[in-house]
Amino acid sequence: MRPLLRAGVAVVLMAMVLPMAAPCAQEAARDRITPANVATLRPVLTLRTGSAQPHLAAPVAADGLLFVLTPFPHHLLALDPASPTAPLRWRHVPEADGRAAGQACCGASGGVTAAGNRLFLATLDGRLTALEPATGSVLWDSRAADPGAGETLGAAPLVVGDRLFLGNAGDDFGVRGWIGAWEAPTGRPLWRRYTTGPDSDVGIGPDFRPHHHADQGRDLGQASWPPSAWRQGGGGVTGPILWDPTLGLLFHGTGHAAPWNPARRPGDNKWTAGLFARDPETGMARWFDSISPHDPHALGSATANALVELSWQGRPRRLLIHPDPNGRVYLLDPASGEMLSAEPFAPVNSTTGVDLANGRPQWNGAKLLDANGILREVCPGRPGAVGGEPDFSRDTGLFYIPASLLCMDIEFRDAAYIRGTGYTGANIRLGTAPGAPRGALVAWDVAAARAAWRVEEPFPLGGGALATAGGLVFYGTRDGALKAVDARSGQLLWRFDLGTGAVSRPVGFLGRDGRPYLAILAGDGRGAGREIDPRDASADSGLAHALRGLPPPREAGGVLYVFGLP
Amino acid sequence: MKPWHAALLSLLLLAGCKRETRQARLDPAVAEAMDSVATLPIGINGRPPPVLLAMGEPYRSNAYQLSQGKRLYAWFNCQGCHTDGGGGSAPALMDGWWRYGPDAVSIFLSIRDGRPNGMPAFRERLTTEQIWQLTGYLQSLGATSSTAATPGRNDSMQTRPGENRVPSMSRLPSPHEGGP
Amino acid sequence: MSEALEQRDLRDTALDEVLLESRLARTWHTPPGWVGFFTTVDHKRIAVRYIVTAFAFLLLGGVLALLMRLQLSRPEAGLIGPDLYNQIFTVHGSTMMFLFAVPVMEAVGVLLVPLMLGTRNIAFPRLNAFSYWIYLAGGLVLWVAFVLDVGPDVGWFAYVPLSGPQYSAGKRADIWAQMITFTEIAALAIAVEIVVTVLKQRAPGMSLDRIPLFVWAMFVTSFVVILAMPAVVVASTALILDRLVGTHFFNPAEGGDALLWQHLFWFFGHPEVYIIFLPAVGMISSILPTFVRRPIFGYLPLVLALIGTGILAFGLWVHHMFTTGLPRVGESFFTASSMAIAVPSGVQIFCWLATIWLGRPVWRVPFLYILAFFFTFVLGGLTGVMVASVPLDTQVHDTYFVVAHFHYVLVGGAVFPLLAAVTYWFSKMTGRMMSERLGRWSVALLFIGFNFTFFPMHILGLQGMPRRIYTYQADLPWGGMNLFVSLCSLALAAGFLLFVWNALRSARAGEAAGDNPWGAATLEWATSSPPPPYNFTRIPVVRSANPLWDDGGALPVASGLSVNRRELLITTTAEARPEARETSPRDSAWPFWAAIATTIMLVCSIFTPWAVVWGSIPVAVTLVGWFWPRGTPEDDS
Repeated sequence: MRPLLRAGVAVVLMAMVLPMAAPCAQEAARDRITPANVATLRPVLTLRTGSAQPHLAAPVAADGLLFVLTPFPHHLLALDPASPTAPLRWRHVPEADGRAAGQACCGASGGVTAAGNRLFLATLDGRLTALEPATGSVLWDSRAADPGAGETLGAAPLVVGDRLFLGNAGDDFGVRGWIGAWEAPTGRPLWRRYTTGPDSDVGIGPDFRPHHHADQGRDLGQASWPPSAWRQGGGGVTGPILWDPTLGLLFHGTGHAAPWNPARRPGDNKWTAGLFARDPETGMARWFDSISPHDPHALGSATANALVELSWQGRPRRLLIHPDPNGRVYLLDPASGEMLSAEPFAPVNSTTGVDLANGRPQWNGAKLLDANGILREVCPGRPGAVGGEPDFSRDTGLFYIPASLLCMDIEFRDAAYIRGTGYTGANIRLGTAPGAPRGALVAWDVAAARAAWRVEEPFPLGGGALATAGGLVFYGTRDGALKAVDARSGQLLWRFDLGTGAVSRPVGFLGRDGRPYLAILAGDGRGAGREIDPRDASADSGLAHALRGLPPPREAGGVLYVFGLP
Repeated sequence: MKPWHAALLSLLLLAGCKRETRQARLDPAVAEAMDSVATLPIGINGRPPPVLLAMGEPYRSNAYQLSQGKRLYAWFNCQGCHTDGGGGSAPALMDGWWRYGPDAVSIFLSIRDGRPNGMPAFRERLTTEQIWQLTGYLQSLGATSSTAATPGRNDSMQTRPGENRVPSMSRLPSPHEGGP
Repeated sequence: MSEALEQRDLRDTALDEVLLESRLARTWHTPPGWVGFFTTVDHKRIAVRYIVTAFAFLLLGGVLALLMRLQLSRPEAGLIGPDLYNQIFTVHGSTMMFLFAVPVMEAVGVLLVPLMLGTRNIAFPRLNAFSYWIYLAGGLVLWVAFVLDVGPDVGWFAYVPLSGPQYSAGKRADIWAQMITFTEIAALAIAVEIVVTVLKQRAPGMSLDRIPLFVWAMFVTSFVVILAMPAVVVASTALILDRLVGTHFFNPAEGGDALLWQHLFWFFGHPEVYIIFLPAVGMISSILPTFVRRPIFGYLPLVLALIGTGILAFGLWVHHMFTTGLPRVGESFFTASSMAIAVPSGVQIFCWLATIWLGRPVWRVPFLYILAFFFTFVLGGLTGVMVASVPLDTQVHDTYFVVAHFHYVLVGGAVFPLLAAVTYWFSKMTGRMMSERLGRWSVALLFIGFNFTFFPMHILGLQGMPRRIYTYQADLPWGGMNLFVSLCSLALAAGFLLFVWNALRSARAGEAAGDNPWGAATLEWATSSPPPPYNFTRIPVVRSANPLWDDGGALPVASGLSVNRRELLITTTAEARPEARETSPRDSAWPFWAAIATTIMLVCSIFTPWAVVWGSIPVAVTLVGWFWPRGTPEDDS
């Protein structure tokens, strides 16, 4: 009798408790977007930005608020997606230097970063501003770049502690690249290191220990250029800068050498088209890896990097993953810069391989030209095989790269440096074999150094990929689709028609109500406001022609979508 | 040859053909006078310098001047932003749509003085004559009909049909589809 | 009786001499006045017209040359600007090569070949007329364009990329390219006529080994024309397409080749100079026997040399391209072949020297021109062998050395024989002799003026003076010699003017000539001076290579040709046995109209490609009119 009573009480108690536990489980299910519920995502907020330019800067979420930076001339909007009726908290319109409107090319867009209860805004026309996120009031304001020289700010700054790190854009205008540090609370500039020039400018000192022999020498940033050509050498730090807390180093890629025509700049053109590891205190370089010496196709290496910890060839290691515009995924040792792997993730014919011992690519002689003339069907084509910011998922061990599979015909011609004007020296036609896909989402198995699967896209991908903890990968396409694929298999689970192409990275965040949201800023600049004539095959650096067949977007300008679960 | 044949030929000599004259050096007084453009206050349109009309508007109708404009278009990095007329970080020049008007004065001013949204000023970098040559060439680029003076294709990569194939330009097939 | 005379199939056997001549004259004559001017198909009238027009172009080209010499006489003379100078040297070269040299040689062939062969008219007489009008149109297109400042300025061979759409603005290069089309149609037409005439219309008994050497030369030349001209037509058409329509024949960036132009042009261009030279050689071979009073020495070697030259001429063209970076084995081959062609030329010269040696010279003006030819052409040939060598050519390419070389071979090798021929056959065509005294003065002025004008250019070239420069600086060492050359060019000009004056004056008031004032051997001297429209009262029969010498005053004749219809005798190809009677076309205006339609089509196609489509309709209409059957019974055997 007594054991039965005890069991009955347990059952009754469980019956009382379990129903209470059930809502908790449901609560837990609504904390993240998973393959199970992704199909139920629906837009909770839609906002038209009114700008016809390409929307490259991803929104930033902090404290449940979403901060959206529209293309130049910028508006910075602070939105609360949890209150769909009156989402706009404040709007900040920085004073715009109109000259930068003609320099909004090539992936440069400015950006905003939220860190340490501050908002840091880098505008395309070179203004660095710190704002109060709650009210949008300006804390400090500083000039970082000069659009009169063609110099712009390419991406959002990196904030680590009380330091702010930022690089410039403007390789296509012959601007000398640099990375700089500011004091985050006050905006006081701390140091600036250049990509070309004497060692003192570049930050090469006694601590510099490059892994490969060719990167050792004095004043190589001058010596590997024709006299004074390094002053218009390019190499801008246009992509995101990566911070490694373990090693205490900054990693960043440097952009392509200027001008595009390699015949105008014989030599290895250090330190463009490579990867730097720098000391954040002083900016002095710790090591450098030259990815494309002499940069014969002017692709550069200023793409986003990632630090991962996984088992490489049997033992666990920290690896720096660098997907390069030349179509290869480089795996490097972040401490020394040693190259461990460099396998292609896209069809590549400009190189036949990479000599890992000395870090130099093995160029395909048929795709090299060091004189004026035309090179046909060079793969990958400009601006490179990496279409947008990749993302890594620890759960799957896959690195998701939005890729552009275009190849190019490039014709090198003379170029004259005129301050503030395009300094390219080449004409480009982009295309690919008929019927072949122009883009793909490549899921790169880092440990195995090969692609696990790929989702082919009819058009090159321009925006970044977002790998969520819930096992999904989100990315936007140029034909106006926001897609969610299973992170393991690549199977398409959800698709939403944005009405205009997406060339920025989707952002996932938890709102003030603790619920998960997904935001994407769509707008690819193909509306009538931008005045590109696709009858010229080289329009928009060849991209307009590479996108032929893409119907005009439904939306005239940019649109911000915020999705939530029901 | 009978005398009247010679007389006829000499008469034709007087007629000349303005389309084909090549003038290597401009008279300095004329060159200076070509800068005197009277602008409307809004910075768009205005009166071209009278000396230009007196010369018969050579920059629009003379084959040599148009070919010089085409050469300057490449030499002064116009292709860096405007590509071959299709645009990129700068507006297209071959679609016949002109932000500041299609007339020669507006285009001249855009090049000489720059425009607010990123067009640099070239007054310090080009002579006035060269700016007029560029103006004439740009007008032929955005034109809907071609004349005998319009330049042909360049001996370089074919990104679009030559200017003298306007207005029969249609969407080019991809080079990888067997197009040009 | 008159009814019998009007009978359609009346033959010349039925009539006596006087009546026959008057009936034939009626059948074959060209109406006077403008009607006859535009409708004639008489090869002699067309040929004389051709020759006069060509000499007019020679004088025009000469004026341009004098302008060039005037500009170059002093350093930085400042008389002619660079643009006009470019047009001047281009039009000078194009006029001399395309509007004078080739047409005049063809025209002398058109004039003499039927007469030498003993036939009544050339084959395809309406095509002959068409050829003249097309030639005249081409010349007018070039010169009117030049006068209007649209003259081509890219050199007479118009290399791409200079003449391509990027570097040659406007329509100037298109004018040049279309002028090529005109003149090549004209030359091809005549070449076809001559080949057919020589093969099928020879006098009975004129077997292949009895054909006069001038006729052999024209025959070989015609084959060279037929095989070489298409190359330049292709080249100029491709150039127009590149410029007008945007094709990429010569655009290396899109798969074309700039060197393709040079190959196509010089594949024509080298045989072109043999098209000019071979008829001149033929003239020499036909004139020389008369002035040494013996038959030519080495008839067979001369014929073989003609054929050999014609064939070898197609294997030399790359010697114009030695500085383009071609593979060495190619350069070696073309050096060898360029030197090899001196062999048949040498054979000819030795045969002529032997003829002179074995004969008794008559020191009349044509013979003096031949002597001038020997000296000048051999000197030019020697410098030719020099520039056939790649290292030397690399040094002197595009300098005045080459200018001197080709003027020596062209003036020496073509113009002097031409002037000899004009002097010689002038009496045949006009019935009057050219003045011997003025002729001797002409020879002297031309010979001395030419040598003193062009010999120093060898030195100037070796001193580094480039071609086609409109001026040069005072500190270069060329000034003195240029001044000397310019002054001597006045003597050369005076020689030409004197020749022209001699011709014009003698045509009106010269000493009367009989049928055979020189005592020559070939058939054209068997008929009156000037020849009647029907050439020969009865077709002569030939029993040797020098019929007038061997048969004395009594030349056998063939009879049986129709009197009231235009008829000529067709003979077999090798043995020249009579085969058929062929009707020869009557006067017609359709060739003129077809030429007008073609001209309009070609000129408009400079401006728009649609002209070819729409313009071909009038051309088709005129051709339909031309070929409309007339109900003439053909081929009465």
